[in-house]
Amino acid sequence: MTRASIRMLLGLLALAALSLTLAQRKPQPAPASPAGPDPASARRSLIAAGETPDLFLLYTGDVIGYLDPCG
Amino acid sequence: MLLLDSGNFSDNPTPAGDLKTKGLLQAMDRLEYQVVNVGERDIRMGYAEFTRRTADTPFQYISANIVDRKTKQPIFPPHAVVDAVSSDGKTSVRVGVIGIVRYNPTFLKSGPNGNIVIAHPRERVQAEMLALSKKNVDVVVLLAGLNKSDAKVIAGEVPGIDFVLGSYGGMVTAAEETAGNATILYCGNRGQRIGETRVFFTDDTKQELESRTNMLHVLTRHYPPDLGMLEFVNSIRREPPKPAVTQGGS
Repeated sequence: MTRASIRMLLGLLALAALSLTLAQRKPQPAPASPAGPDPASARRSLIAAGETPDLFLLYTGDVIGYLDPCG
Repeated sequence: MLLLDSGNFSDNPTPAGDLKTKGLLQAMDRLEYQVVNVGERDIRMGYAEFTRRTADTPFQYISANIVDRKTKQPIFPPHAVVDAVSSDGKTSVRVGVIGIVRYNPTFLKSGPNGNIVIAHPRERVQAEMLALSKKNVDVVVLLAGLNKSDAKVIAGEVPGIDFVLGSYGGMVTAAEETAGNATILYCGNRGQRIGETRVFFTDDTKQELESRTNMLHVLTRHYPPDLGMLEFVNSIRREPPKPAVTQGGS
């Protein structure tokens, strides 16, 4: 393999890597507006990012029928 | 993940209030709550009405100290044992959950077999801790519908409780409070806040807590709505209240 062909091969590899990177960065299409509640999605969205704990507790109490954000 | 409620989820027993209570329970179902403590508000119309209102919900309703007046036995399961799996699926923690409400000697309502009363919570918690000790649980949570100072006394006198998660009259836990080995966490009322606790063990034996992070989120409008849940809540708002069902009328 000549030095020129090696340079061409490296150039192609770099181009392929760049294309792959751009493809990964390409914004994904926004999901369609849900037709109904997606409980699994709602549940996952409750958890902020961070180290995965062994146990994750979420708790409420004395809600007395309040459905809307207070105030 | 484990979603818990310390009770008193019910609005007033009016047509409009019933609609909100029903909507709230449906929303809790969608969020996959697992264990709910029965509060005084929830059972104030008696056991039959409670079972009617909650018939379509899959939660484990618990109460250790709402008891039959004659037998002194709890009318609900006094505790629940839940295997909570971490979000990455690597860890399963066996959680024992006990539910109590404040001692109220004037409480007397109709139960499944006669009247029901509220027993002193301390003795009932002791009994349930003994029962849980035979069920190989890793963590014990006490859902407390009673004053924080009363909860602290119980947690200080009954060993083995890891967390007291409570609500009473809008009390909140601004800074970490402990009693005995238990962390005391109160999350306010009226759905204004949600408590979050992340627990890390030292190793796979889950015998010792390495750390815990407690947060209290104030649920203002700054939190973006979940569109599906928002549509659901709006559908509840649009539903006209049904007239109250009267018993014994023609």
